[in-house]
Amino acid sequence: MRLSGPVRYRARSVALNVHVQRAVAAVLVLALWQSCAARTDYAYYISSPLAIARQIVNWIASGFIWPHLIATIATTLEGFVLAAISGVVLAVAIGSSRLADKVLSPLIFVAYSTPKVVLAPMLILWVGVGRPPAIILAFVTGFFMVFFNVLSGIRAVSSAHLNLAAILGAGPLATALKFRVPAAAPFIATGLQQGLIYAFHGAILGEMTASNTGIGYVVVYAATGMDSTAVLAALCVMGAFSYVLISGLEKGVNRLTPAQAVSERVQGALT
Amino acid sequence: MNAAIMNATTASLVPEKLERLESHRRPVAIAFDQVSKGFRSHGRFTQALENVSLEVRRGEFVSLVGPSGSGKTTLLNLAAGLLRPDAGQLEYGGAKLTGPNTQVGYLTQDDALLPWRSVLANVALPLEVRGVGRPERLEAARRIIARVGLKDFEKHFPAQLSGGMRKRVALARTLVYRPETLLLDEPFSALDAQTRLVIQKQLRELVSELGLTVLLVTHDLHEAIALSDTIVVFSRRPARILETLEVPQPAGRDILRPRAADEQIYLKIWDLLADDSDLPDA
Repeated sequence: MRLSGPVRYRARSVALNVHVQRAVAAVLVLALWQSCAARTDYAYYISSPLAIARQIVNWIASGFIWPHLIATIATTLEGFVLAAISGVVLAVAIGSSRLADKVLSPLIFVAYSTPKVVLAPMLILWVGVGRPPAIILAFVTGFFMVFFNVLSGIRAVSSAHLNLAAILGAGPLATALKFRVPAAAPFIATGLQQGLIYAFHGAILGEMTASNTGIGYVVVYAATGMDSTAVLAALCVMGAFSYVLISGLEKGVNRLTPAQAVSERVQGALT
Repeated sequence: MNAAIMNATTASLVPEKLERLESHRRPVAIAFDQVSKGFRSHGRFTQALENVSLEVRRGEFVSLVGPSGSGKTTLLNLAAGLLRPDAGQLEYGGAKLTGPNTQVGYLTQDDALLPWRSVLANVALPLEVRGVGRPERLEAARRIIARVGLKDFEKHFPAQLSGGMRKRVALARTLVYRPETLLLDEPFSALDAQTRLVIQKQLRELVSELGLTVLLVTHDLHEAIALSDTIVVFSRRPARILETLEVPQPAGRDILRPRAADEQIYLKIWDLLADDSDLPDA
């Protein structure tokens, strides 16, 4: 409340300076990299920012990158949607029952802690090579993030609210929908956010091990050809994609929990 | 059912009928018969209640007073069906209580308002859970919100309200589905003295108007004397009933104005509690 006009103005200009400083730092690092690549014999290993930029431009100009990028996006989103639906539903169902939570959650945790990449050869056996195994890996990696975040939100529902639900005669479904899920909304938002990023990682993993399309496949293909420029260029494409993903997510998450955000903001103002 | 809820804030015939009966001839609402309850935590067993027998009649306002931690809240949780007695019988409305008691409204220190819902949506929640249609439940919620004096705050969120206002929202939410019985666990202890008096007066009026049975746990002896027909004094843990006192409440009495007789009841309770205590000045 004490943020008057001039103070806020100064805060904004500081933020602007930070952006400029960040850009300068990035340019400096890239310049250093470029000069190292130019003045030594290591360009074969570390490539150079200019070569990578040229590679990306070539990919875009020839249209080579689009089918792969679209495959990665589709794989990520398909895996994520499966992970989001099953993760939220299972976490709410299991978290609502103390017995189910006690019996099943440890088992799911064991499955979570196992490296998912081990699944890749099995997936090729089950569903063949291509996008299907990558979708499944995206789903599996994303699922656990959604599941465990939502589960901790469902567990954290206050007992006062659960007592209220009981006295009002709310059944398990009404308790879940009107009490548990809204209370867990911030956890669900975090779970979906992390789930999407992990689904992306799972998709790349699947493409690298069991697919013949996608950015992950491009990386493996370039690496087998010892083409460090192409590997790093593919990495840059991934980086750009995750940046878009993450900034889009933040906006989506803010929209997902408006009431919570309002009450928290007000609470913050009062305390 | 819906019709009953629609009329939630208008006096029905029931309290008038009850009014004509002598208080001791009214039907029993809650009956504790030799009820015991204990808890195990960190490997230690604590006996909260021991052989407690208590009858609360329909339309009666009963206050429970006694030292902190003497199991009074446990008694309310039992009456709400949130806990089961270890031993003894607990009946509500003549039938054994086997699960959460949906005939009661429970108001605790923690008002348990849902922070993501507006005042209106919070108050309409009980009717929503019971499947009342949207226009009807909002109508009923608006009416009771106006009754507790929060007409202009329907769209506010709980975090935007003062403690007293939150308490009144919780009271409105409790009354909107017209429970037969109110269980109140120190509902006003966190409020400032002035706000508390206003809400106490409001509560007493609503209780008479709606013919509610009330079980109130309080540490405030003045509150107990001002509001109740009967005061039950509990011992230290494990809680036993030390004495049951009748407080005459003539119709039309202004609870904000204490009477000379109140002082005697006050001293009597104080003596009972002091006798029960080890501490010389407790």
